Formats: sequence, structure tokens, C-alpha cells
Amino acid sequence: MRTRLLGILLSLMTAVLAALGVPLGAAMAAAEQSKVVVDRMDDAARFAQSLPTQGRPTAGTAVKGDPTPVDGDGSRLHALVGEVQRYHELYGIRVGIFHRDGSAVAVAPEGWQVPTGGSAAQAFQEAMDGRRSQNPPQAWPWTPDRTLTVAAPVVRDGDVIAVVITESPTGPLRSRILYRWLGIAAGESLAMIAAVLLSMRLTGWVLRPVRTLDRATHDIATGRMNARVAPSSGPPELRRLARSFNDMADNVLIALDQQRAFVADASHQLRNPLAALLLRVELLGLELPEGHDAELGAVREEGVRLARVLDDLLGLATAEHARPEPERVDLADLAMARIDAWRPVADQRGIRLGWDGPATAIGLADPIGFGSALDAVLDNALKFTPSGATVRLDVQRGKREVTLTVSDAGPGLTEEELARIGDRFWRSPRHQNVDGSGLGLSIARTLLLAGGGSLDFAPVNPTGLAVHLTVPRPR
Amino acid sequence: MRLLLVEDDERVAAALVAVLGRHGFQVRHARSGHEALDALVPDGSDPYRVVLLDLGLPDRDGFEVCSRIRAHSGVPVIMVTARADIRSRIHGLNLGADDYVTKPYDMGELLARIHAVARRGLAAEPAEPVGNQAGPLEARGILIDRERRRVSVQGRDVPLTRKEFDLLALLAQSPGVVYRREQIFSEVWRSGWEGNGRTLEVHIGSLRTKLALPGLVEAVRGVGYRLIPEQPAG
Repeated sequence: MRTRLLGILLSLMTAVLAALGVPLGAAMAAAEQSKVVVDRMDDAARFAQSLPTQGRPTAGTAVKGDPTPVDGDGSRLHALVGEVQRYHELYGIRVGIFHRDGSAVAVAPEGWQVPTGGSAAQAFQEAMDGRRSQNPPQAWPWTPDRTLTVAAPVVRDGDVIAVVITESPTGPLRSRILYRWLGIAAGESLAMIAAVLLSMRLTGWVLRPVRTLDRATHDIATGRMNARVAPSSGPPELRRLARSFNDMADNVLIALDQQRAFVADASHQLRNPLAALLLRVELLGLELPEGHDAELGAVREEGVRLARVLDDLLGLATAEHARPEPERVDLADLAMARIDAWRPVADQRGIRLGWDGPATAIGLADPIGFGSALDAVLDNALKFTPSGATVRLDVQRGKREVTLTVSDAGPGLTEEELARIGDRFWRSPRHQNVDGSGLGLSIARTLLLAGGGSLDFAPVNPTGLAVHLTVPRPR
Repeated sequence: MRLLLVEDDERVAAALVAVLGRHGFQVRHARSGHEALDALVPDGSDPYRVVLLDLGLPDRDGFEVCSRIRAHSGVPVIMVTARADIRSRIHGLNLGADDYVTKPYDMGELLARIHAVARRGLAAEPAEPVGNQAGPLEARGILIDRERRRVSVQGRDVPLTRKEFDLLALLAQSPGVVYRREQIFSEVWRSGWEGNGRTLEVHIGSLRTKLALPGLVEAVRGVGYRLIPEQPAG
């Protein structure tokens, strides 16, 4: 998060700096060059001024109709040549004054010719046309050792009589540009460092509350329910989030407390009647004639089972309780025991209870939880099966799991109902008058899921419902 | 043996009083903590040997009642309550309860626990006239000398086997109280009662014959046996 945020901020900053810096650098280079060009223009203009009005010294012959050369022109020309020489020696800039026909008036160094190609030739041509040379190509620090040619026309009486060309090496110009650029880069680096520091502060400010929130959430998720966030610094939205988080944690705690209180109340309310019932059974047992010990034992056992189921269900509902540990259980044995327990109910309703399966089927399950789930399923099956029909319990050993299937001969369920069966408090609208809370199968499902098993439903041909209780086999 | 039952739920109390009565206990039922504390004030009658205390009382908390009982008396207290959580158990035992049983309980287990804390209560008070572990026991002219493991009826020595003696000594600990078959097997035979067939009946029969007191040991159907402390009227 932090690196990403920093990355976004810094790449934005880089883009801004580049968008500002590149044109600035270019403008600076152009300005430097134009300074040089203006300077050369001035120099060229000065040379043009000092060119004698009548000067064809190399030809030496007077053209007909030309004004007679004024005395002193020769010496002025000579002075000009010297000046050009000195200029070249001093600045290292080539200077040439050429007539229209290309013959040199004064040239330094010696033997320099009118350039015949490239930008220099173009500049010469422009000057011949009476224009000042404009915009020589920009010299960049990385362009190879090139020269900068500036040409200026020498105009007498509206005619271009000669051209002054200067050709300067670009080395100093390029190093000046580079120097200015380094200045810009230094400035931008400073700005970048400032931006990095600022964005680190900013991300820290934004992320600190997020980090404390994260810590508190983790604490609560791992059961330390009293973890809270101090809503101190950070953006207002995150401060509000921290406050909401604290409120939420408070509410969760209250809900948990309420749940615990409910469980305690429910346990109290259920335990007293159950205790009274068991005591009455005990009393009844004392009055029974001999020969009912087995019956009494079975009733007692059911009572104890009921108490344990109560404990387990309440335990399942309380977060304080650990989930039941699955253990190795012989499910065939358990299924037989449950069938025996339900047989009186089945007999009373005239329903046959069938059983099929191997003698042993070891699976991993919590025996109480699985027994309760099986009870809920059998109860359900017996409720919906008409008198005279059969409820079957089949045990199958799969490769990885053991499946108990309870098939009834009841009315069955539509596909839509099959999708909803097992939801809490759901009852088929067609069977609202059958006893029950609608919780049985969902409790069965919860019990099986807690032990790593599953509960599935399928239709039976021609009519009825098959419930599969699946638990894993031990490895 | 007198018990004090502190329980606000009438249905539970009525059933428990009936069952305990069948086992030969005299049970006084108190419906509130106040009533329980009143009942424990000594009034010259036989003291209570065990208090069965419910925690959910209408007037005051059962824990408070327990600590008040402890402030005045050393009578063994068993908390019999619907509160099953560990904290309540620990709190209750820390406050001075001798045992903690959660509802719904198995009757046999509750009885065994009552006997267990009653036994400890006696051991703590050697001056108690009945049931001293080491001293001689006397009931209906029978003298049971535990140290020398000898029994005499009206001054006449009666030779008993070891099991017969242990059986008689156990029943004589709390005359009138019914000892359940499983409890007798635990204490005399040191084993569970399943699969022992009619061993107990045989020993009871020979005990009756040897002591020549047919009405001394009474069978309570479906429960067990007890010693009748008084000569039946007539």
C-alpha cells in the first residue's frame, strides 16, 4: 500500500517535473543560441558598416558607370582585413566578407571559401536575397561538433553588394547550454527530494490510522475483543472510520454478551424441567414392579442423552466452547442404536424401520453430534411417512467417507423445496401442520458440518426424500 | 440422615424430595436463601449433614448464601445448579462449596456425591456420635468394632467374612439411609455392579442369617439396602 501510494505520487511528480523541465531546458537552449546569433549579427553588421562603399579590391578595375573610388578606400579596406584577422584570432570565429560573385573581400582564416552546402550555404543565399539569416538549426549538447553560421547582407543604396558570414564553433555555446541544464536538473532534483519527503509524510499520515485499524481488526478476529482504535490522527474519513469501527466492535461485544446471556438463560430454563423430568422418571422407576429395569435404564439413558445434547447444542451456540472433536465412531453400531431408540415411535405409527449395511463402518464424527443429526433426520422421516410404509436406513462405506442414507416414503419435495430444505426455520408450506420447529434439519446440518461431514438431500422414486449424512473416514 | 435442600423450582424440589425420601433421607426444603439460613440455625434437633444448594434463588444469589453458610457452619454444601459454565464452578468451589453438580444430574451420581461429602464431613468432626470411621458403631444391640473388625450382637461375637463385615459397616454408617446397589459394589467390592449377578443378595442373606436379626437389613425395591436403626414397632 505504502509503496504503491508512494509510486503513484512520485510518478505524478516526475511527470510534472518533466513536463515543466523539458520545455524550460529547450527554451533555455534556444535563448542561449539566439544570444550568440544576435551577437554574431551585431558583429557582422559592424563589419558590413566598415566595408568601403566602393570596394572591389581584388578586381582592381573600375566598372563603367561606377562611382570613382574615393580616396582612402584602399586603406579602409586594409584596416578591415586586419580587423577581420584579429577578430578571428581573438574569438576563433571564422569571418568572411564576400562579394555577390563569391569572391572574398576579407577572409580569416586565409583561403576560406563560400560554403557550398548545408545550412551555411542557405544562410549565404538568404543574405544574398537581402534577408538576415534566421533560426539556424538549434545546437544541442549532444549534436556533433558543428558550426553556427550567421550571414548578414551588406546593403548599399538598397542593393546587396556583399555578404558577411561568420561561422562560430558551437563548443562554448553547447557547454553553456549544458551548464544551464545542469542548473535546471539540480533544481528539479531538489524539488523531487522535497516531493519524496512530503509524500512519505503524507502516506504515513494516511496509512497510520489504516495500520492501527488493521491491528485492531486482527486482534478482534483472533478473539481479543477489547481491542479498540484511538481515533487520533489521519484524514477525517479514516478518523470517522476508526470511530465507526469502535462502535462496531462495541456492538459485536454487546451482541456476544447478549448471546451468552441468552444461552445462560436458555440453559437454566431447560435444565430445571429436564432435572425434574429425570427425577420423576427415577421416582416412577422405584414404583415399577420387577422386570422393567431395561426399560427404566433406556429412559434414563435417553434423559442423559438429552442432557448431553442440550450441553452440546448450547456449546455449539457459545463461542466460548470449543467445537466437538471428531473421533473414531462405528457408525453402523450407532445407527443400530438409534434405530432401536426410534422403533417404538415407528411401531406406534405403523411404519416399518428397515436397515441395511455392513457390520462395522468406522467414520470420523462426534458421536453425540452425529447421533443428534441422525435423530433429527429419522424424526423428520417418520413424521412424513404414511402408516404402512417403510423408512430405510442404509450405511455405505465409500473410499473416503461413510454415508448414512435415510429414505422415507413421504410426499417428497419439489426441486425448489429441495434447495431450501435445511435452512433455519424453513418448513414446506404444504406441511405447516406437522409438529416441529423447522430447526431439526438445520441443527443436523450444523452438527455434521462441525464434525467435518455434510448433509445432502435427494428425491426418491416414486415418492419420498433421501437424506445423506456423510462423514469422513479416518486415514 | 438429614439434608437441607435449597431450591426455588417447586417441581424440581418436589421430585427431588420424593426421590431422596425414597432413599431414606429426611429432607427439609427451603425455597429461598433466607429460609435456608434460618433453617441452619441450630435448634437442638439433628444437624443437617449436607446442604444441596441451587444458585438461582429468588431473594439472593446462591453464591452469597454459600459464603454466609460458610461464615457460620462447616456443613458440607453441594451446589446443584443449572449453571454449567466453568467460571461458576470455580467460583462456587472457591466460595466454600464442597462439590458442584449441574442439572440435569444422574440420581446415582448425586447420591454418591452426597455420601462422599457427608463422609468427609464426619471425618472432619470426630466428636460426631454416629458413623465414626475408626470407632465402634452401635445400632440395635449390635456393636461394630471397626478397628478390630469384630461384630457382636447382645455381647455375643459373630464371625463374619470380610465382605460381610464391610457391607454391614457401610450400611451402619448412616442407619436409615438407603445405599444403592452400585454404591455398595463400589465401596465393598471396589468394582462396578454390572455382571455381579446375585452376589449382593447372597451376602445380604448370609448377613441376616448370621446376625439372626431378619429385619435389620431392609431391601428397598429398585434402589438398594438400608439398616433399620430402630426395632420395628410391635
